[in-house]
Amino acid sequence: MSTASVSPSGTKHKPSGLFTTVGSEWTKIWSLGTSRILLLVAVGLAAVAAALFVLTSAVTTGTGIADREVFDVVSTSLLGADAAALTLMVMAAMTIGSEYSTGMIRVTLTASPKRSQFLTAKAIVIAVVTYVVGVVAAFVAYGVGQLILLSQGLDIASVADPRILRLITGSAIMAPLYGLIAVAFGIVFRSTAGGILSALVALVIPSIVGWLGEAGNSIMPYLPGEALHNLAGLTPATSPYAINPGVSAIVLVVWVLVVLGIAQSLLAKRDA
Amino acid sequence: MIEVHGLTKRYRDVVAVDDLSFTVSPGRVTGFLGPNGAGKSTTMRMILGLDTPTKGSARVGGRNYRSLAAPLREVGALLDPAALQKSRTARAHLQWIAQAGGIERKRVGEVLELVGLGKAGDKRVGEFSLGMRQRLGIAAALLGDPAVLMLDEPLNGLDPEGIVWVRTLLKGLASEGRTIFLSSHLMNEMEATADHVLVIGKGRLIADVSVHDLVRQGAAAQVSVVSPRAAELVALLEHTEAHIVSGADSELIISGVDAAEIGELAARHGIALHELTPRRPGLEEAFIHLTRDEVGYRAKEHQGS
Ligand SMILES: Nc1ncnc2c1ncn2[C@@H]1O[C@H](COP(=O)(O)OP(=O)(O)OP(=O)(O)O)[C@@H](O)[C@H]1O
Ligand SMILES: [Mg+2]
Repeated sequence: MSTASVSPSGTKHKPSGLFTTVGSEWTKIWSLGTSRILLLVAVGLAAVAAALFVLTSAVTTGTGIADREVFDVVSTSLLGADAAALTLMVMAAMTIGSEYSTGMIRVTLTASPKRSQFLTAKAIVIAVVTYVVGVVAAFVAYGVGQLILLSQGLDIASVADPRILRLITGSAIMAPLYGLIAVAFGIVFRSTAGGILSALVALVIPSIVGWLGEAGNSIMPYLPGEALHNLAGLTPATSPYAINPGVSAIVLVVWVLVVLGIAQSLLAKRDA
Repeated sequence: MIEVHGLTKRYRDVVAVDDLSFTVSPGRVTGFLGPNGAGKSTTMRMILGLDTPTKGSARVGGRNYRSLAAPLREVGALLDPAALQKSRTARAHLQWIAQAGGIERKRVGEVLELVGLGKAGDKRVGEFSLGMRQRLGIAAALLGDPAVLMLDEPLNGLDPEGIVWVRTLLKGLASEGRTIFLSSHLMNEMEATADHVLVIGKGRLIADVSVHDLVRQGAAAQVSVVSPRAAELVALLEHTEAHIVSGADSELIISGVDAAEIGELAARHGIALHELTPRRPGLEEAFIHLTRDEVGYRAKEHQGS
């Protein structure tokens, strides 16, 4: 070791900017044992949960799959994608929470002192990874549902049907949505638990507003949960919660930006 | 070059760093000494832009750390070797840091070799001993080949061979004209490593001196004497300026008079001396002497035995 020179052999450096920070966050997430495991768990869980929900549909919804519209069966199988989204949300919370619990956040912010650049890179990587894995999980869940239909000699739903494709790819947005909420609040509370609990609160807010009855109708479509349903085409046009999918996409983006903005304001002014 | 001006950090009820001003110059190893809670780590966090000073400023290479275009290539820092996500390999850990700093991938292998972790690169860092984590932290600090190196207690957890290695490495880097700033509790170790020391206590600067001067201006010189007639010698010394620091059986530690005076006194009275040794006070004594009134958390002396 004493023979190695301290100075680098032939220096060639890239300027550091958002691009290199994204690369760094990308390496971080893929080299972490827990996140790799949870990404696999998410996909596996999607298959298992889809099978369970579809097979028990007679018990849970009172109608067997043979008597339900194929669109409804797909939507039931996509509860598997929701289970995957929750797993990915936990993964997202852990990536930032464990930086705080180990103190590694100080290494991160020493290497990337521009905090908005770090947060943007983290958000991009979490959004891309959770969405891609979320879509894979959603297709797996859909596939499992279709296999069950096939095995019982029932009609299946084709992904060539734009409604089905929108349902699958739209449902998968749940993963980056709650993943980014978990990262933002993981920063706010500087902990994994804080991130997970905040994302779960965001998840149950629509149910709480639902108890308000009519009074909640006007705000319900603008909450993340219902905006997501609108975007995926799960809200019937006749529902009081129905809004234009374009508007629901904007609603979701605004929610994510507000939550990340809160995290950024704390990250910028607080001691690391 | 690190420049700190009027740096102050107040947490709710403690002033961790109190109007601290100093300059760490290139080309030499500067030790940062102070008892527990003196504010060493807090000062380093402020230099790195991690904590915002309540007052004052810290500059590295003439600029605020957070405004550096390529921070890792200007400053290499190690604050806490345990600040790692344990399931990652050493190589992957260095890889993400290198990427964040815009540093080439092949530099990761070089620094792993440099710190002697060449064979452990693909092990998970959770399996690393404290000494290996120190080496990994030093490797991370060296990634950007920085002009300024700032290490918080880098000798902690290292075996004697590791300590010698770090000392040699830091001296070599300083001789290349780099700025080397390291904190330590091991005062005697600093004596062998640093050329210059900054001593702080309760967040305030106590001394900014060369190691040579610190040792000299420290505790008064003492003489160690071994004699079979020690008791008689003590009786004779009572008529001089001497102060008996400690005396156990035949062995005495004496201050206030020098070895020559003691030797001549003993000779005049025919007292045989088996040993007569001037004791040069080490940095440890000098340090305790300097910080006597500034220790934040001193053990209660009257308690215990
Ligand atoms: N985040 C914080 N919140 C509140 N007090 C703090 C914080 N960080 C440090 N302190 C306090 O500031 C003082 C200085 O702490 P610091 O860790 O800088 O000392 P140190 O010289 O590095 O000590 P050691 O030698 O034990 O590492 C201590 O009283 C400590 O309790
Ligand atoms: Mg400290």
